[in-house]
Amino acid sequence: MLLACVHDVMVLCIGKKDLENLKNIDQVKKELRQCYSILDYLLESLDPNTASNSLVLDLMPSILCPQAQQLQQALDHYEESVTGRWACLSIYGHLVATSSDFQELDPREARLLLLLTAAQDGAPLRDTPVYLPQTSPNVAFRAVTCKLLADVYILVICGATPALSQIDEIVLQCWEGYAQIIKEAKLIYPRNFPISISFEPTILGILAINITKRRCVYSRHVNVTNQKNRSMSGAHRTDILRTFYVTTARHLAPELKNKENDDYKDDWADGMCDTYWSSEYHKCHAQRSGNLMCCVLYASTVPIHTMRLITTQILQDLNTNKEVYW
Amino acid sequence: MNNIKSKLTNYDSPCDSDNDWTNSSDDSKYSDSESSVPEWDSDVCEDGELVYIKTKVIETDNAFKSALLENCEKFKLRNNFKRSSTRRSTKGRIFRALKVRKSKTGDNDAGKKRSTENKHINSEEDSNIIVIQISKSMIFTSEKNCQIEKLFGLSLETHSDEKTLIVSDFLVEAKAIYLPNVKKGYHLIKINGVEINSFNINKILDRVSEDHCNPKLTFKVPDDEFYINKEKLLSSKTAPGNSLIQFLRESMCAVLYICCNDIEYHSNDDKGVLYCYPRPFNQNFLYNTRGAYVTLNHLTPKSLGISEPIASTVLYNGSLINVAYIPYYSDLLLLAFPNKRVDLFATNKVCNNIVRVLEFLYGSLKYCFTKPNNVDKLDNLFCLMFLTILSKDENCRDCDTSMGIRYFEDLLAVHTATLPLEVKIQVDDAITELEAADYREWTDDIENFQRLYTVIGSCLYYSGHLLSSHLQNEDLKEIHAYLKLTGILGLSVEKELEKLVLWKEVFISEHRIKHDENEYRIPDGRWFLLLVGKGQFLLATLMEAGGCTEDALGVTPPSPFYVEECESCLELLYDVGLNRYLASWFSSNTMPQVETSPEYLTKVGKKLRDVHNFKSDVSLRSSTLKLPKFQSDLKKRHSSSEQINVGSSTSDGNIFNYGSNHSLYNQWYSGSQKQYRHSSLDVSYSEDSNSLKSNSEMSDDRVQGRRADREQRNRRDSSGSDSDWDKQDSSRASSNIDVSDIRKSLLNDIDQVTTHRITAGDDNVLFHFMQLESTTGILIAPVKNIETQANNKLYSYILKTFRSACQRIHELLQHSIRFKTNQVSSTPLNKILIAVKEYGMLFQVPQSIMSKCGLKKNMDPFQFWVVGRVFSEPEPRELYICYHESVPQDLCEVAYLLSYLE
Repeated sequence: MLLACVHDVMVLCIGKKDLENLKNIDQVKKELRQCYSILDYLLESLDPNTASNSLVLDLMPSILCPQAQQLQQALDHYEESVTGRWACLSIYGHLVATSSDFQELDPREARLLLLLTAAQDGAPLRDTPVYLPQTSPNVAFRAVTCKLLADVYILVICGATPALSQIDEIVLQCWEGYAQIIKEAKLIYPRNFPISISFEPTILGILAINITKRRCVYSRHVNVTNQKNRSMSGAHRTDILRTFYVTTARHLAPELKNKENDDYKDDWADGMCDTYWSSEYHKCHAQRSGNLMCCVLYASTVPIHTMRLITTQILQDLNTNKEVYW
Repeated sequence: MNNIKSKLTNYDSPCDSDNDWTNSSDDSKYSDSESSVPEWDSDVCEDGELVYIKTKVIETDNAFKSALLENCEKFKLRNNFKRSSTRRSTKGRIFRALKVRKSKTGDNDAGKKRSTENKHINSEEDSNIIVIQISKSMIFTSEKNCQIEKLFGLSLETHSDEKTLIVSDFLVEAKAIYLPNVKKGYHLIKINGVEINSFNINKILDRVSEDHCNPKLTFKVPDDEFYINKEKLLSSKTAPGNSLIQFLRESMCAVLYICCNDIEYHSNDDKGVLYCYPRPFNQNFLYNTRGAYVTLNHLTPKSLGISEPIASTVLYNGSLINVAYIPYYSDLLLLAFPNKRVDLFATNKVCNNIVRVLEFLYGSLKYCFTKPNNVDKLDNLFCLMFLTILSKDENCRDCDTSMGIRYFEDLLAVHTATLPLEVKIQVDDAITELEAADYREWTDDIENFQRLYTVIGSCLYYSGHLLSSHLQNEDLKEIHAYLKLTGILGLSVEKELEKLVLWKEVFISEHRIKHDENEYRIPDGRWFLLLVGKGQFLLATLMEAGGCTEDALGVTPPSPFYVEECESCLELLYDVGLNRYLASWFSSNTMPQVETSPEYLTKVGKKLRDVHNFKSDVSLRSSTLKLPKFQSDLKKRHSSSEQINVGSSTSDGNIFNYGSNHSLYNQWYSGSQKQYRHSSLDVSYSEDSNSLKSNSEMSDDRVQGRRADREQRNRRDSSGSDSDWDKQDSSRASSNIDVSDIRKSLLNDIDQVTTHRITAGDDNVLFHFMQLESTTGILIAPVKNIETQANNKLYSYILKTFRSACQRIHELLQHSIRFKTNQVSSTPLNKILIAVKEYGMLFQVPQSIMSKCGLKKNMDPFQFWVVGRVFSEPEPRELYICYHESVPQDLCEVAYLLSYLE
């Protein structure tokens, strides 16, 4: 999977044609240099030992915030003004809001674009030629990333026309009024869930996944008040959840499987709706309901049927809460 | 009936008396010259190894099934075989055995002379031809209005030679007639004895339809297809035929042994390739691509800094192939399996087992492939192993699961049957007696004769399940792998063995891995595996020559004496009725009980069950009302148990579904209950009737052994002497009290088995379980045919899911086990995964399957858990259970209860 991801990154940067023909290896090598930053970011976040922001390769880390709807409107507007497509807003490398057409992208491409924003070095405005591995592997687009606030970027794909300087002006126009909203949204991090959703104190961490949109929300600071229970570091908790998801809970959602891996024996998991782990120090439980899946990390003292009850509750909450906007 | 009787005589024959040795061998050519040459003698190879297999030809499947239970009762009565008598009759055989051995080792001429007297086993050739008679009155409905289909219920197609007719399909109604004897692909060669082909078939069919006799069809097993006679292959000493090789090549199974050090690499013509199968080289998939594997094997440890490669998956001609690496010093053994038959998980397990077998048989991998004149044998072995691996899923062709999933539990360890303590004692006792090798009884001058072998362990299988093992863990694993991969174990399940004798020199693991500092050093000797099979029993014995026994020098053929000892051990088990007992035990589903009709756990199902219960209550009442009449019936009849059996089985029809509280209504279970009922019927009978005569008759037939003695004594005390008692006494005197009588009584007592339950809650929510001890290689689970016993779609679905889920859980739990067993590991382990002790999944049965089971109204979803847990103390033990979601279970508790049953 990492391999496929790396390949995608390479295609993104230099295009499929160049990569396959390899007319001039030295030039290709030189061109590939620009994807190093993304690859570095990728590898870094996969390494279980550093794991500052761990990520699951097939999902886009996101933040659920009540402001998402307003931000989407802003993005739509911005997209229109630059005559581009597929815009998104990211905070700390997490997807916060997208323009309404963002879903048209292949999930793998969307992930790549998010990687691109996440791996930014802090330049206020930059455009990068990108080849989209699925939609257009041979013709490059222009990806314009713009830094709004610290760790807040917007990305839009557009044609050649609005020059970078023009875009700068458009950004100012479009986003001036939203600064406050973005700041509010930024506060959600690192809890990543709207305040209105509350969790039981036994829950140590949560990973909620929207299956069709391939978006996931991590939260390890579920109970901000309960600072005593620091037996496990936050990074470790997300790591557990991630491992749990990758090895186990992913089977709850057969549609998340990538098609290339010949799924000859995966029919067995049909009809699986719950799964859990219990280890010496903690328990994990995952449940799926419709389009949402929830992996929850519990303290080891919670009995299994209680886990099921709580998880069901959370899923219900996520489904009905009006502030949750994927 | 005839069929059964003939079988019975077969049971008696081999060991009845000394003369039977010669009688049972078909050819009496040399029986006059040497009276005690066993029938397998001519099959002994020049190197002393022996594979002798003779199976019973079973006419129809149905007859076989019913025979299993019926004939045991009668068998017991007729069989007056006593172990002690064999002992006596074998007196002096050791001399002969020694003599034979000496003549063999001394000059090979004698052995050669014997083998020139070509003796063939008729059944082997006969098994290629199958004759089936079809009732004229049967008319099959044919959609295509084809005459063949109407008459015979078959559809045919012509072979590529445009002449031979091949069976292409059966009509549904006709399946019962043909299967399992005739399979698709067989050739139809004769009708009513007239040879037919595609040209004359219509003419002959016309004649048949006018003819009034029942047509007789003769089928021939195609010898060039992959319907291979495994028995033949097992006992053949030459390399398998070309067609077989072609089949293996197409199925993408391959093995390659490469020598990677420089000297041999260059000296060898084939660049270090020492062995390759299937051949020729240039058509072998592995041979053609070997360079890649060798490079990978070299590079991965060095460049990636991780372990040596275990397996690669290659896409070749559109199909995935798993290639496993087995390094041996500087050499490399490669094995390839098609992914659709053997998945990656299974590949690893299978390869481990193959290596086990090779080392077990040859001592080391290197020696295995460099031993001179060994190519044919290896070809044979690999051919056999590949076929066994590939043919595994032939039975379940309709279900499209890959073999690795279906046979998950088979791959891991030895499937062991849990037996009640009393029975376990019996079995252990019998084996221990064999192992004790106490021969004082039959030879007087014991000081003058040194033993040939010491028995260092043995294990007993019944129908593919291990009953008892007195072997070291490693030895058991190796022997099991050998039996499994060569298909011998499968053979003992599929067919009833009349006689199987196998003798092989082996290299036990203790010997291979030498520990000099060990104070219990094993002697420098030789070891032999003696395998004796009869019926569905297989007894594997590991023998040691060396140390306190005579040293085995040169070619060592099997000693008839020891073969006979093992045979008599099996005979003893037959004698106590273990075969009968096990047949009912295996279908009784009691230890612990598994719910095989899952739909009863739903609301609708519960209602169904209540209705059922009510009905059976009514029927029970009516049956008890009928009882007096039935009794009078009985009195009129003879006292032979045969008659009683018939009588009671008719009454069983009434109480058939009386479910007690086990809530099990499937046919199989009541099969065993039949027995239970049966005995209780007897009891009530004897209580009701006041006539002493019938009482004594009953006890004569039904109650034997110690219990009988006890009861009779009691009765005599009360009633005084009677003419009947004299009869009793005489019969008792004739069956002079010996150990086996006590055994019999023990087994009879266990007719009343109580069912055990290991799950919590009112209902039995357990569908399946599996306990695996990887160090001992023993796996405890319900009997293998539980699925066919249940005969329930929903249950099959649950089981299928359970197996595949177990594989997942097993893989995950390995992290923890590996961490616990060896603290220092070369590969970095995921810190999170090693802490996982328990892994559970909840499944929901899809609506399509529910509706197939007739549960359409049922709206609440049917959910069940599959949970696996590892217990690391004292040694790793994995427990997997599958239960209905309605009652939460604690796995520790389940494991605790289960351990009580062992």
